[in-house]
Amino acid sequence: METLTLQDLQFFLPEVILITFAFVVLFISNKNKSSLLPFHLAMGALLGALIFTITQLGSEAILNFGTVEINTFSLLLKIVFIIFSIITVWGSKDFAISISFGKEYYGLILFATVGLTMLGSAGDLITLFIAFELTSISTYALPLIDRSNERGREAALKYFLNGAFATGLVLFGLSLVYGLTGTVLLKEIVPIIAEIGYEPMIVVALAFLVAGFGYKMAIVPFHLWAPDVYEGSPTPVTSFLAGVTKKGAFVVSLKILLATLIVIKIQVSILLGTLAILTMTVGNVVALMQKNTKRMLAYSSIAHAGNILVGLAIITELSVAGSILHIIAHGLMTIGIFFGILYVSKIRGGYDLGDFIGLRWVAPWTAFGLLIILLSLAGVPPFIGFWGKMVIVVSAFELGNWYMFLALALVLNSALSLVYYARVIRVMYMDNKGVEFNMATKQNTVIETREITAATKEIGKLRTSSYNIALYVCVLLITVTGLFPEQLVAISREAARFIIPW
Amino acid sequence: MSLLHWVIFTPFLFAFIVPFIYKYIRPIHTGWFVLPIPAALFILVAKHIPQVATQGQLRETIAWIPSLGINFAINLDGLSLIFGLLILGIGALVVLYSIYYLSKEKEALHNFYVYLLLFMGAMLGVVFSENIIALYMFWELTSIASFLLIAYWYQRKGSRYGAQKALLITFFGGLCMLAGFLFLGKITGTYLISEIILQVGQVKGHPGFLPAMVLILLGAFTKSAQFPFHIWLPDAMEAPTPISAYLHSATMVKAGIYIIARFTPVFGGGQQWFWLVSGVGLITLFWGSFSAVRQVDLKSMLAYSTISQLGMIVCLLGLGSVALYYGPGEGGAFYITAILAAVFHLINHSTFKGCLFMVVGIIDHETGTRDIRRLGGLMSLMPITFTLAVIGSFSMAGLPPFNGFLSKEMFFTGILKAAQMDIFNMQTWGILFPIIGWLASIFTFVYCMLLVFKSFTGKYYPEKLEKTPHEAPWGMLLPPLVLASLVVLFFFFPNVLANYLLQPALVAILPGLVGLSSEIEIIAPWHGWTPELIMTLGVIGIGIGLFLTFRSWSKLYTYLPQRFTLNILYDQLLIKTEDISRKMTKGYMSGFIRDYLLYIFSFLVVTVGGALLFLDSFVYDPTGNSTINSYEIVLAIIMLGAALMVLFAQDRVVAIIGLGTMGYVVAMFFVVFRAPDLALTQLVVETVTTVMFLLCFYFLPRLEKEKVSSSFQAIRVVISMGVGVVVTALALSAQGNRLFEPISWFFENSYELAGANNIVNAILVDFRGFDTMLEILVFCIAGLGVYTLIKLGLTRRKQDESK
Repeated sequence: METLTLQDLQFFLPEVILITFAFVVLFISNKNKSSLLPFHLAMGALLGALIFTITQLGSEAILNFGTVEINTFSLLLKIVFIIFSIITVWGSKDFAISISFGKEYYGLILFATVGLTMLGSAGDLITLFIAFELTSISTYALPLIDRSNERGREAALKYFLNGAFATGLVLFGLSLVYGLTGTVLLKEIVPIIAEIGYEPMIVVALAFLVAGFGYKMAIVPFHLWAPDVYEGSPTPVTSFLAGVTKKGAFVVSLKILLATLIVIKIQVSILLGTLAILTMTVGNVVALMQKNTKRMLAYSSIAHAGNILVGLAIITELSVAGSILHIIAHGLMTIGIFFGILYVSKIRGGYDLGDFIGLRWVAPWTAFGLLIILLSLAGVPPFIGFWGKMVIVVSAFELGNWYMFLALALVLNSALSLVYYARVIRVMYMDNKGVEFNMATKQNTVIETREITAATKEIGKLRTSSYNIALYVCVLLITVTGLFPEQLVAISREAARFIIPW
Repeated sequence: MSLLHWVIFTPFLFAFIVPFIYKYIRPIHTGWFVLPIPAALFILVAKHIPQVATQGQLRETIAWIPSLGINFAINLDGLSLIFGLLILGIGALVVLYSIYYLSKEKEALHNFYVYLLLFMGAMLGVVFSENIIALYMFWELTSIASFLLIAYWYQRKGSRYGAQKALLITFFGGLCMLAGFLFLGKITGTYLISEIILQVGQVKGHPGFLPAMVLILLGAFTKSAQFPFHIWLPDAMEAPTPISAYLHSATMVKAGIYIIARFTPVFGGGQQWFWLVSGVGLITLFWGSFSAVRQVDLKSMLAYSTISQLGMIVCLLGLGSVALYYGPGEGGAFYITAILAAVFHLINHSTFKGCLFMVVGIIDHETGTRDIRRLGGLMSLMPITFTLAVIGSFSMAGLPPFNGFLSKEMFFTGILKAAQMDIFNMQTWGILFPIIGWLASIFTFVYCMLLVFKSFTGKYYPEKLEKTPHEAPWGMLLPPLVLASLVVLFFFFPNVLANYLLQPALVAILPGLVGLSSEIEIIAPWHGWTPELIMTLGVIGIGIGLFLTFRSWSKLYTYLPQRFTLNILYDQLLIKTEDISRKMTKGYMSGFIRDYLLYIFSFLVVTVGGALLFLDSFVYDPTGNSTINSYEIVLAIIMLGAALMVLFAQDRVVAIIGLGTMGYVVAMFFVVFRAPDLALTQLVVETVTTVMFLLCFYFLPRLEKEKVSSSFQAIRVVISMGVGVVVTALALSAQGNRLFEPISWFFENSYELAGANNIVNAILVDFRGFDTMLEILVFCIAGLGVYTLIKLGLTRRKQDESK
């Protein structure tokens, strides 16, 4: 452990770039609302950060008295989060122009990204917590970024209240961990806890940590805010919250839970496993009935949180790799599908299931992209959503015992989830006239073939919308990584090796 | 990338080109461009026949996901060769047929051919993959392609229903199969089929043997429409007829059979496998043929007939697995013949059923209906179609001189032998095999006759038909003609087939028992006056009798329960899950944060309380505590009173005052413990918050009495009590746990280390100076925030004024 040298500063370059540009974006002139300057600045910052991070790939370092660790895990997550932010920013180009707080939107996303990039590399509890909070606080305002959206207020308030409550729980848990070990460095906590051995207070700490992070990860029974917030927020924000920042909570849980709870592995497994099964089942069962696609996806993303949690509950190198893989996969799918939905709501006026009727003829490529993402969400090969689940299930089978039930629950839930994903596919691809989802209150549920052709002409202009670009980028990544998952699987396994403390 | 990999990938790659061909070359039917693909690949694969017949198998591997031990390995042996040839051969015929069946003006041909090619590639992948994970991937792809193809005529409600049903059932089965594969992978440590087979001994002794077997069979049964999962196949008949002929009779539904055959060497030889496979096959055989008789839609009839024929093949595979029980030698020789019959019938079924589907397609195309109540007398109008129908259905009924006769005879031999088995509890139950098998054959005969004679003979009703029927174009007749001639050819030269295709397949299914050069039984139509022949004669006799008296006994079917069918079970299952889902949503997604908090608090009570209770974490150590004096008791009582006041207050102001009282009492505690600065701070904070509360509440609506049920109220009481108890216990045991030195060290050394008399100052600026600085920073940021808010308010007021 040495003091920081000038050479080590290069590892902070991505964060420095992001912070600098975040301020620049915030301070540029507010006069021209339709200016693309904030967009270009944000994209430039993210791309720059991405390039610098990629060049660091493969290096390993422990900086600043162990508070920052650079290794494959941290670099992989940095890259992933920056790419997620790039897609989000790219996709929200049209959105940011339409709202009055456009540059603030980019600024907040950049700040949140800094927090996320720090999550992976944080080496002690305090840095980790601060990075986590930076992400959370930056995003509290996002649901309300579009002031014309009335529902955003409820969403923002709920998100903030729940987030604050969760932070309190996390802090309580962390202080207990510190109280037990006397150190905040993750690397030191592991041997100390191993030395102390089984200490009952640590179970209490675990309960608080799981509850606190459970909030942020939106796992059952802490998930209740998620559907309301996701539905109420503007869709690009939903995409960022569900696809990007929520994944940050998983990263923190991975690091803290794995590092601190080594001595009570079995209790952790049982607790997380139970929560995982609950989360998957509740998420999927409730999603079955949702007619509002945004809300349906909120529940689906709860169910996916359960999938990721299964990997955490198993606690082997492979299962953690599976969790990392599924975090990446679900992030891509979520961002993509929310932007797809946004596009649909722009051309059809809403995001109820009825608005998707006959989408295949109105916007064939969007429908195709959504089809692929929906299949991937259901865990159908050969898309990346399949491999995440697959690796987790394989790891469960390697261990055997009751972990098999976890795997079985995951598999059965995948089958269950197909029911509602297939319904959207059916509506998009097969329903021509609104016969079955005849919700009398909505006008555009009954769509005749003639109207579609008339509408198609108007929509031609919208087709190059940035929303679609984000969707296509995600679909491309999902398919390519699904067909050739080797690189991603290998790097996830290597990353997992760094955070498994034994 | 070997040639065989390209065989799999070519259809996928071409699927990408099809939409462009469709878009830019409209005058020519897209099918003509697609046709060369399966035809060329067929020749390419067929070239391997001699090689496989002499060498047994061909293996090729490319790396795919080495970090998970998954490589894209390909294995071409006798079994996969037969399937590959069926997929490509019938694929080519179906494409040719579809060119005339689907109009190029009206239909979305690009979708059709894209899905078809996707299916073809996926199906080839299933049968050629040596790696079970890759196999699973292709397996699900076939489900998706089938889903898209069933729903090709999406305008029909039935086709959407059927597509969804097929997808849900086969996807569920596929996932089960994946779980089974992973079991196998765990037991053997490899995902390669050939390596798994080498470790059979290890698999058999393992506790995971049974679950793996059942799960894999679930996958196979759902895909091959075995009882009770057969319900999706009749609904899948909404697909265009070429698709029904291709996917739902010749290839995809046989994927399950492929899996059963492929894993026979792994699981076969035991009692469970035998009973599961042959039992389910037998039930399916009977139920399918029994249900087929009552159908009035020709395609539904064929669907049930497919179910029944698949059941027969499965049953034969189950019987044949007994060969593995006996091992090499005399005892098992007979059962090898059952496997031979299974593979032989698999080919035969594809030929005659493919032919029949195309015939039905022609009838549908020419008359506009498939309802046998409206059809009749088509014989003179469509003589060639009639001949084809006769060949196909007589073969299916098991009559000579068609290939169905040969395999049916072999099936009879099999079930007769089964009756004499003296292992696996067959002594008592074995007699059921010939009885049920024979009954099923009679029903098979009856529906075959219904199929031909109801539609082609009898009276012709032109007024019931939408179109005027005439003979189909040659392009539509050619594919069934090819298949029909194969039906006849296989009857006369079965042993050519046996030598080049069946024997290598046997080697693949029963490795170690059958060699490439070993003798297998010669398939022959005439064995003398055997029991099998008598059974066939019985089938024909009784069958003709039943056919002639069909009108009088078909009413029996109306007595069958209509309410408790499997279809209704499936529908109810979906409806019930939605019901549960709706109830759950209504039950707890109220949208109120106060309700959500209940769940959170109960979780904390359960986990933290549970940890304290069950893990002996509760420690109460009163040794360091000072004695309790009378002031403190009085203060505690006041505090309790204030807390109760908050609880039962009807008005917000009262509640706030109660809360404030509690705060002031805390300040009093500080006074009692001689900490005036803390007491002062507490008083100030308490005053400010109370005042702010009161100011804020002025703007809020009146507190209304909530209407909550008493049970909900009780839950709240229990949970709040629980939280209280748990937090108290936690506080007490946190006091009791002391792992480190107390921080009183700072107090004792403050003078020497910091030169300060005031301990608080020394801590703030010396010992924890860095923290203080950060705290100041936090205040700065908060101040900035306040400033921004004020400024925002001012500018907005200005804007309002200027408006």
